[in-house]
Amino acid sequence: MEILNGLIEGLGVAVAPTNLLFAFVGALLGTAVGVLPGLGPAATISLLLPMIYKIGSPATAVIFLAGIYYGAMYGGSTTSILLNLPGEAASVVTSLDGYKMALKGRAGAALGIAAIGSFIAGTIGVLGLTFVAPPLAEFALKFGPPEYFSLTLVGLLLAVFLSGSSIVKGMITLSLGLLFAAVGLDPVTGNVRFTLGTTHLQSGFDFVTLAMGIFGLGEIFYNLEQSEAGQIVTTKVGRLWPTMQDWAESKWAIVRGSVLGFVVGVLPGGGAVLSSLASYGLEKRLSKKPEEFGEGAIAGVAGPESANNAASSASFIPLMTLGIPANASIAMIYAALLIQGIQPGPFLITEHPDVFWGVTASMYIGNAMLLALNLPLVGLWVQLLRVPFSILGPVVVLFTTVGVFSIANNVTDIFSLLFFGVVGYLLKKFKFEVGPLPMAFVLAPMIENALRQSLLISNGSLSIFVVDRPISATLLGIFAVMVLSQVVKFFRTRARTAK
Amino acid sequence: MVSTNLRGILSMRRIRTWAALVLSAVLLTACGGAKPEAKPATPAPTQTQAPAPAEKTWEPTKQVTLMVPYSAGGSTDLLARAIEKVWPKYVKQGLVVVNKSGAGGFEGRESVVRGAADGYTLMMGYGSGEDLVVPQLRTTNVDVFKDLLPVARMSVHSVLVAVPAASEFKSLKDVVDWAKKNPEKPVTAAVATAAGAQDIVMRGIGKVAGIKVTPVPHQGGSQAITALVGAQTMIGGGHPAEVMPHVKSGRLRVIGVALPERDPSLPDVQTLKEQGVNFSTWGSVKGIAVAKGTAPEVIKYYEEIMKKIAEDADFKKAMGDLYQPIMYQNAKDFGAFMTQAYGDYTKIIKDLDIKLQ
Amino acid sequence: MAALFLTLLGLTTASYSLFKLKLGSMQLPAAGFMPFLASLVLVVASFLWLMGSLGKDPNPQPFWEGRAWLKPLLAAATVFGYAFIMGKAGYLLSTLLFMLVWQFLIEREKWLKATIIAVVATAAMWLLFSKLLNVQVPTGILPI
Repeated sequence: MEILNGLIEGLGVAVAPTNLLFAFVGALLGTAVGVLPGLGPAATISLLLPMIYKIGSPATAVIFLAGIYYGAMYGGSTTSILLNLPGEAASVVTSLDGYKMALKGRAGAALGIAAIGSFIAGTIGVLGLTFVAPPLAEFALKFGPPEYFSLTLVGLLLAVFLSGSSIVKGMITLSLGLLFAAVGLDPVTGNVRFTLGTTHLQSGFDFVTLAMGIFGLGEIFYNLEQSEAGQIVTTKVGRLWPTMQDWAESKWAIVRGSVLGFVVGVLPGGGAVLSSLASYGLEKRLSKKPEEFGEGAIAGVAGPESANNAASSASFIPLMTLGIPANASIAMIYAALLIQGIQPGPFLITEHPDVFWGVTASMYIGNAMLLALNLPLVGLWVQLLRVPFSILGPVVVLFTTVGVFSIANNVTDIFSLLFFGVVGYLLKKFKFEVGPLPMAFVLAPMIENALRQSLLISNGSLSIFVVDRPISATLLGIFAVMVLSQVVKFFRTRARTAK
Repeated sequence: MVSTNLRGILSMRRIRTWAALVLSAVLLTACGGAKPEAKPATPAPTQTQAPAPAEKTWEPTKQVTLMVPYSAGGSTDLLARAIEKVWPKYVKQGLVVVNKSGAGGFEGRESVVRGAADGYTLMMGYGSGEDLVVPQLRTTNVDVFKDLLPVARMSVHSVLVAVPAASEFKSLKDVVDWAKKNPEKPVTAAVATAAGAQDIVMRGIGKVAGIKVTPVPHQGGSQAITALVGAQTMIGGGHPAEVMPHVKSGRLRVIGVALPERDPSLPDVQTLKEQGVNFSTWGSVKGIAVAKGTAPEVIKYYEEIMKKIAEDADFKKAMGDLYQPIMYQNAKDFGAFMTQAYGDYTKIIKDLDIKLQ
Repeated sequence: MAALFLTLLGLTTASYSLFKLKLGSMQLPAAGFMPFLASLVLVVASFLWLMGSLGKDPNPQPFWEGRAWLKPLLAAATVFGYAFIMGKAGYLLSTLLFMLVWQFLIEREKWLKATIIAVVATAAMWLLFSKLLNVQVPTGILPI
């Protein structure tokens, strides 16, 4: 079969010593980047591009950059689980249950299952890339503003469901996230919103600042208060590996997450974030113990982690088959290819099979390398939790301040960080779930753009969301079903307690 | 690292020894490796100047940032990458390209304006719609002529009008005819940013041809073209660098170019004027700028570097692959050109009565 | 009480979006469209929360036990001060001070232990970010 031929040829390319080396270095670098807050894979790739030109072989260059990209996904989950510091939007969902697991002394299991799940997801992703890339890419093209709107709407709803028990509180947090996102310049016309007259706020809030503040500082403030009140927060360190039971609970979550992540990840724009959200929602739905979610359900870590890793493999599809970059990091890789005279697109497979197949095969190898790298490191990372909170706490604060500062070289951003820290603290104090806030913050510009573009295209008619658009209609249908089932559930419990 | 050091905390003696070791290490590295504050150096005059001891020259002593106010993959970003590729041949210090997209190109501009005018931050894309058009439609927080200084013009990207390959429109005339037959349905056009060069072209077409065109803005050229390839809008505007790759792969068809005469790199594409729509613009001017307050010798330095880059063979090849014409102008000429282009756009805006939403 | 605050906040943002930013029309939604919708959600949700908590015992537990609020407040103040002097004194100095203050005031460590922790942590942070990763950190009074 032609595809198999290509894959074998690609494996040949991928195991060339230079390419192996670059894959390894890329993955290592990516993991490091993922662990550190503030420095994302896109920025790193951008920094390294000049070096790329000297490498010579475009296949090697992309292998290297790709390594950084999916390595960063691995690294991001580490800080989410250990320190409740999601470095990227896609890792927020992981931190919800992952950090709770860490607090219960099960950090090792969480990290382990995240690594294993990511590996399996990466493998499934590569298989998908090999076999279903072209049709999936066509599918991605059909996603226009109305589809994105419906999808993000479902995403927002899922985010509210992350909020555990109280839907009302979840909606409050959600709307706060939407409002925070509105600060700054309007994404479509550039009008100034909610800046209270300061120039600093004109560029709006950065996700990292918000996440670090709410998750990092907020948690630290809360812990400080709790320890004063007599409850000592210790992070016990338990077993290092996932147990057989963990595995039994997670294995289907991993598979489902991978497939879901792969499909959703193909979509340009918000693939990884939405896929991790969707996976979490799905797992919670399907779980026999839904009340565990939010308190440390391992499926709540396994699913989303697999999803966001599959999504990062999938985001290569539009690039390689259509020549369309799905997000900022991929766009850098796109630029790197163009500058070397290679046109990503439908002819890539035929004109430069070494690039296409070489990168695909190398992803598989890269994932294996990352697994081999990360599993032993789990033991090391977990030791970090042994550090007493009195030291770890302020060090985390320092960590986040540098991360935040490095975004714009602006000390005022640290004040924003503090602001979000207070917000996070207050939210915890009032027993809100903080998850929906960063999710809404990330999804807000997407949904706003999608909504306004859709209305522009349809000349104001709402029918564009449903008519002639099976994907959008289906998504809206899912939305309606989800809302209805919640309403029904509400009335049912009301009736039950009334008896 | 931190954790292994701190685990020894339990023993005070351990702490003291460690602390002493670390302190000395820190002091040593601090004293030995302290980086000097970057000061503009005054080396001997460069070869391109007549020896004039009184004239100051400047060279960067640390890394330079090239800020692209759009997301990666768009035409401006690609131009920056092409520059980045040949930069090491002419400058010892490294160049790093930073993308800061948002608010239609203003976030990146603002960060350059608010940053230090020390010559280490260059802005790519000076002369785009945000500079020549938007300030005429609303108050912006960046004054194009006061807050930024021109350094060099590198290219001018014309605006192409394209349609998805499967579209029924084979020429601009088809579009106009269809619109006239369906007056209540506007022609949707994907454009990179609101009030950018492509937006103006679309509105211009609408006014001149007497049809209703609705520009649909995105977050940059890359996203707009993606939308067009997916046939989310009927037509779209784009720069050659973004459009041509898809024409080659058979997904898009170009039906016109908004220039007074045909674009030399695309001789088969008719102008709008040739098809009966008498409208043309400068397109998107892509130049380099620095923040106001930057010293003249800094500007002169970069101006000359850019000239060398513009004449570099590798750069020419890269730009050719990217479908971007090289149109270099030095700082003074570029400044004059900006004023002229601004005036041209003023006229267009007035004639066509273009207003922001 | 917090619910009341949130309801008011929602109303303010709603009116801001409505009047200042303009909602635009369905054909041409403008800058105020989304924030208005978001504010609406906030108002409705806050109101519901308010209604929900009215029926319950107004003071089940003291909001803050004893002086539990002191530590977080001090922490917040320290971070504030840290940000403030960072711009003037540079990274090294302010980080050192930050850690010192934190250990001393908040964690009530002994003077010597506090200083050592502060120095080690500051050195580690500085080495990691400034030297190893080449991240630009503000420089101030000290030349590094």
